[in-house]
Amino acid sequence: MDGSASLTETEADTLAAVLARLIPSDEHGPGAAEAQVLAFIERALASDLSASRALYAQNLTALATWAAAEHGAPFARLDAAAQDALLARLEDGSAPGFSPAADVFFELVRLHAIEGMFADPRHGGNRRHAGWDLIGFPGPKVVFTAADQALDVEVTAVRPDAG
Amino acid sequence: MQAEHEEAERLDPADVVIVGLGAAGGIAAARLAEAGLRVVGLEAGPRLTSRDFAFDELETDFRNRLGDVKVNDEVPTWRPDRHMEATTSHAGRTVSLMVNGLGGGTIHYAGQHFRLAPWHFELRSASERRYGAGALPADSTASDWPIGYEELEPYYDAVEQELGVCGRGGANPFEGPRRADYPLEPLRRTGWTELIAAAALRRGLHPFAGPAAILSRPFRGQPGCTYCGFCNFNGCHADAKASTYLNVIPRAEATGNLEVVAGARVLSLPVNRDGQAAGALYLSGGRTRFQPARAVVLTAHTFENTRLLLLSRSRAFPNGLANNAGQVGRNAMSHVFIVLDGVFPGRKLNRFGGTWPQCTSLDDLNADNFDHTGLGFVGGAVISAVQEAKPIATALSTPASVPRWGGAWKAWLAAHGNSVGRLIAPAESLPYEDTFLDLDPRVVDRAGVPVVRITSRIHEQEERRHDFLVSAMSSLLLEAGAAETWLARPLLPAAPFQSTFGATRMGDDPAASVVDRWCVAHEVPNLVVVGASSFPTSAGYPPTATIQALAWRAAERLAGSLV
Repeated sequence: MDGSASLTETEADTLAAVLARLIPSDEHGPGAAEAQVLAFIERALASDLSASRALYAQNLTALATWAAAEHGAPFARLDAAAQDALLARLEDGSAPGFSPAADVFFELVRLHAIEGMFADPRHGGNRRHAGWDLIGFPGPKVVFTAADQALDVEVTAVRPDAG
Repeated sequence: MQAEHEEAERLDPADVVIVGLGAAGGIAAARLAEAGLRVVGLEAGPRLTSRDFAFDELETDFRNRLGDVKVNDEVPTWRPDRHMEATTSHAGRTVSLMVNGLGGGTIHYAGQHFRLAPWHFELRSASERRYGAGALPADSTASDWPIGYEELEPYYDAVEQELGVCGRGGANPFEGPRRADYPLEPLRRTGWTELIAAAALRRGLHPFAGPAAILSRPFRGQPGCTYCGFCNFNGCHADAKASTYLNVIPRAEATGNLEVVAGARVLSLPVNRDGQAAGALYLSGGRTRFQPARAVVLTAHTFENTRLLLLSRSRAFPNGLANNAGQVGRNAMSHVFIVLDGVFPGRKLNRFGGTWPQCTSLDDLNADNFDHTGLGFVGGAVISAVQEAKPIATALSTPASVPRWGGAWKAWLAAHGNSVGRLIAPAESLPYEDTFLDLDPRVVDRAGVPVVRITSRIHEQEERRHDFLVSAMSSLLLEAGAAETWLARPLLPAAPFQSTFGATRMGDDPAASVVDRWCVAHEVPNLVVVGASSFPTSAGYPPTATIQALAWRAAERLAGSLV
């Protein structure tokens, strides 16, 4: 399933940069980029979350405009520290030009990023179970035994479609 | 509505038409059909099977796919008081994850199956006796129930035996007297639930294995639980939940006396010229049909019970059916649902997998099981330590001391994702003068029907009760070894209305209630309304056991009057 038509290339670039800071790739494992969280969100915006499509477009444009005003460059081209500083102002609601407010948009993207990172891979994100590996979720199993529910034991993970 | 129902296709009359085949409707259908009455059961949703229930947290817990048929499109609006305009935003929170289908809420509920305590039936009088005339706020409309625990006890037992509820009688020292033990032993204990049980014992509390409408072993043709971990907000992949579409509804159909109509969206409940309920007008497959009946049993969710009554206007009932006293929608309540997490650094708690009701529960801080003197509130909640962590929910709940995104957030999840323990508590809330349900004057669903409007705010007693319980729950987590605790969701100005009570409450006084002690409408002698909407007080327990006991009792009485 290809939902790539749901955002323009520029919007998608900006969103990918945001996601890479929300869930960075680092020593603790793959982040939003490797887990294909962008693909998850694009697919969702073309289906279940189509009502949020316009809100994404509007606010990703606002982010691009604001980043250009603050730093003279698109958000996606800024260094990580500058990106984080701007995102912190989205989170606290002080960033200008967002609709209905910067913090509302930030919370929406954060929720969808986490959904994309930790939902079943069938929805297009959580590729190679990056999210599930991060938190130690053993995967969907039909049976959890008493041993699987004991304290301090390693539970065997099931990774049905580790593609 | 009168004209509309006269134009509809008129079906053969039934003895009883039931609106909503869920927790209450399923029980009522079985009792009435087994009494030999001809029953038609109307259900807005489809007939689902185990194949419809994927292990998919996004689809169930977040998109509420099973609610797409109807309820997702009619989410109530909310406003804090009557002077404000209601909105659908609810500060970003879904009001309720209801579903449509044969079995209703019992398809996807957690299955915790508690009886109320005897105290809950006499909250007002018992509180005023012990704590004085000011125990309840002046603007609370709380009343005692018209029946006591002892009148409902035989029906609690009947439901437990019929469904195969598991638990251990007497394990909870605060429980009311019971005539028989649960038919099945409790669900399996886990490392996490035993960790909390041990901590509770060290604190002098009284932990027990929470009772559950989930089969701990095969029972009457249903298999036992496999502890998969995708139970709450989902139907059972193994048919091991005591959902009514798996037990009482097929048993009722087996009598030959119950006709189930799935996909029937009820539009209104018309009345005869003498002001009695005439049947149900419903839409099915694009056609409007009228099902006449000698009696009507309304057993939808609280929101739909209220909405259907208010929509059913006639000359005899210009403000909605059974609403000439203006009581429909009043005395509404919601649990203030507390979810408290704690991190146990270095421990693998292995709460993934299993099901909520494998819980360790305790009633020490529920009902009047502790001295409330000076606390400024009455009641409380059962507290449960639960299994069944799911991955998205796990990632969404981190302590306030940790950034909510970025490298530090991710590092915290990597270190502690399997080290978070969870306690839950459905805190009681009281009914108030200014808390009610009515029809929204502006917002309609896709069929053009007004949605319910909630007018509700958190009152002082609810805030104090919430804070008291959070503090006690935090203390229990710390005793068990938690390094830090936090609320997985903050207290909002409006209760979430996930479990919703009242609005068609029971009472002896027709000027202050909608239905009588048998759940028969004061103003319409052949209309029965049963559900959490019947509750005069919300109680600090999940409601389903009580809903089903009330439904059994009401249906038995109705059958006696019709046979």
